[in-house]
Amino acid sequence: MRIQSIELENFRQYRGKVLVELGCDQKKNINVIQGVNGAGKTNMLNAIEWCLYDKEGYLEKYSGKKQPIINDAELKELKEGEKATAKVTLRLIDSGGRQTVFERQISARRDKDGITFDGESEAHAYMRIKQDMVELTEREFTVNRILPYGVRSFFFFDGERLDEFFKEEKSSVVRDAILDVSQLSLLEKAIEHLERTISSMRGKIKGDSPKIEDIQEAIREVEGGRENYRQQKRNKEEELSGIRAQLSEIGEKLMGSNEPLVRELQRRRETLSARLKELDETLQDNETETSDRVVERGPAIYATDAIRFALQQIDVRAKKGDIPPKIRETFIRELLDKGECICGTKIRHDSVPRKRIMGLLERAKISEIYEEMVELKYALDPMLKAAGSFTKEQDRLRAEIAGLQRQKSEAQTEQREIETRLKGINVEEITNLEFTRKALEKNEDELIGRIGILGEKIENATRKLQELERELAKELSRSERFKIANQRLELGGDTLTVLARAKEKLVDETRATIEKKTEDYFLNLIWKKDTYADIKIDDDYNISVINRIGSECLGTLSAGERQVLALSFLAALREVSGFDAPVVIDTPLGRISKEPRENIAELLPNFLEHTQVTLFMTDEEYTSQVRTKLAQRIGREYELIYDEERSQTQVKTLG
Amino acid sequence: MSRLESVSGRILNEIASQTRNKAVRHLATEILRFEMENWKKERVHFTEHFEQLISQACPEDQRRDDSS
Repeated sequence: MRIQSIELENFRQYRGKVLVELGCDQKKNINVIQGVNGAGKTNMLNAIEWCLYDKEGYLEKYSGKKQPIINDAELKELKEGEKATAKVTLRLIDSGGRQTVFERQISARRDKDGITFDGESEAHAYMRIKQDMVELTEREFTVNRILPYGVRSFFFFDGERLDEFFKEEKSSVVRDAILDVSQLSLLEKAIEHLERTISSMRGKIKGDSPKIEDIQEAIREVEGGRENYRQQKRNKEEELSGIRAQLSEIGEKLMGSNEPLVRELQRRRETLSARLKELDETLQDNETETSDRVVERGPAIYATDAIRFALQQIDVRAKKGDIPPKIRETFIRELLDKGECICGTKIRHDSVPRKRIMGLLERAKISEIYEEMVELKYALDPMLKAAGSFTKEQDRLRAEIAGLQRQKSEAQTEQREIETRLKGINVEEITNLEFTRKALEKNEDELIGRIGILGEKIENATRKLQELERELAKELSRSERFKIANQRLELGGDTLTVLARAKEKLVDETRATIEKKTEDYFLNLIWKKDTYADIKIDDDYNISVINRIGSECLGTLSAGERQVLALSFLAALREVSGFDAPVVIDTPLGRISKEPRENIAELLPNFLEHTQVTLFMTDEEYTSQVRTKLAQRIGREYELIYDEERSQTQVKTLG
Repeated sequence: MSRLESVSGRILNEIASQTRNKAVRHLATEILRFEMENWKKERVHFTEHFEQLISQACPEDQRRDDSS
């Protein structure tokens, strides 16, 4: 899908009709709209969003407040009884050449009391069928098929805000983006709604025994408690996110300090933080392994003497020749059934041979035990060996843990030294920032602990709830009257389990795909090819950038590098989303310094190959070098010129 | 099939691989269809609709409907 044209009429600084036709050629997939700050670039992006969704996501970029959509001068010149209208028309074309047109307009009238704006805008959508434009009755449905509002921010975005994605406190943004783009938020909603439906159905059952009512009451109580814990946990997580945002801001202030020593100490501290995070993870893995091994091998260790004794007994029997057994019960029974020995002697009833063979049968029963002893030996031998090597392996793990703890303690000591040195710097702002940071870190630790406790309470409540649900189902199954209700609850519960399992699996798969694609894009785009090796998205949706020596270094990326990471992440999300929509980026190179800017400009067309990309760039971004790098791929090129005298923007075609 | 439909198809395929129970598959699919139609709507009245879907998918209900 490509944008053929954007037509603006009295939309903010665009007075009268302004038509911008974009290039739709696959090989020349880049369109550039250049203009100084305030010329109307962001408002053109707003116009696209407003036309499609009746929303303007980028409105507060500079002004911080909402301005009227209709052009100021038009409104001022409006005479009593007259009407002014702002209108945006967006023409899109798909790969099969089918054209869809979206329109939205809003009006205002002047009467004797002043100007009155329409409460709601008016929107239409048309599709070209042969020569005719046919109005589409389900406009919203058509928009959602092209690009739903929930995923539009991965297609239309502000380059200057891109790096916000990867600040530490933004893991929830990454999570939501992944869930939205892969439509897994659908599954999440379905699970939440089904859970509530089942709870409501359960509540409606009017029991004929006090026991059923008691269980229902207990379920309500546990459900209420769990919801309360969930709410508390959400609040705490939000609080934690706020604290992390403040910590990140302090970090940035220290990194941007005029004092070189402050910058150096902060950089070192960030490296140490990343190292500590890694050490904690490895420590946790080792500690889990240690306790798992105790659980797994504990029984064998406690039973070592018994195992050794059993093996000795087996050896004694083996030496005596009892093991392996010479007589098998099944073989003797076969002879008796057949009535003939292998030597040809007939085994008749009450005959001597029969009595002899029956005697062997008694001995064969003991042989069965010997046979089991052989099997037992095969099972006991490895257990004894594992128990023997347990101490050695545990000692190795303990030594490893001690080493990691030593490294952790050294890193923590160095962090404390950095803190003392920063507090000692004779600049009031730095000292204050350090004190605030320390207090925030304390709060952060407390909140992490509280969130952990709440998580445990939620898990316990869920377990209790499952127990009660089973109990209720058992009670209901006793009465014919509740047969249907019980089956419905069971069906709802089974469906809930299936949806939850599907979600878990798809979330993991999607995260792994996005991780891989982000890494491919990032390593392809980044100019420091020898520095970075890997991108990771963990279970909590934190993104890590791993350097060639294996350390995490997201915190030390420059603003430009973070922007490249964000561009890579967005490209990965776009690919996974399955939506073939155009990309519009406002100030794509705003935060990137000269040399990397040219590198990105050179790679950008290939990086979003086969996608129509419209770039709104300031004159500072769109340097002659950037233009040269993009030249081969530019479809259309415009300059927005703001005429201050007439308070309106004009569009000039370049190239 | 558009790429978008194939994304939804991925969810439905995963559900199908999780269970062989036809009633569960049918109910899960219908619930997802409802969520797709109401995606991003702020207020969605789902309880009654879901109860109806459960009743329609429940084998015991179907047996009763057939015999009546």
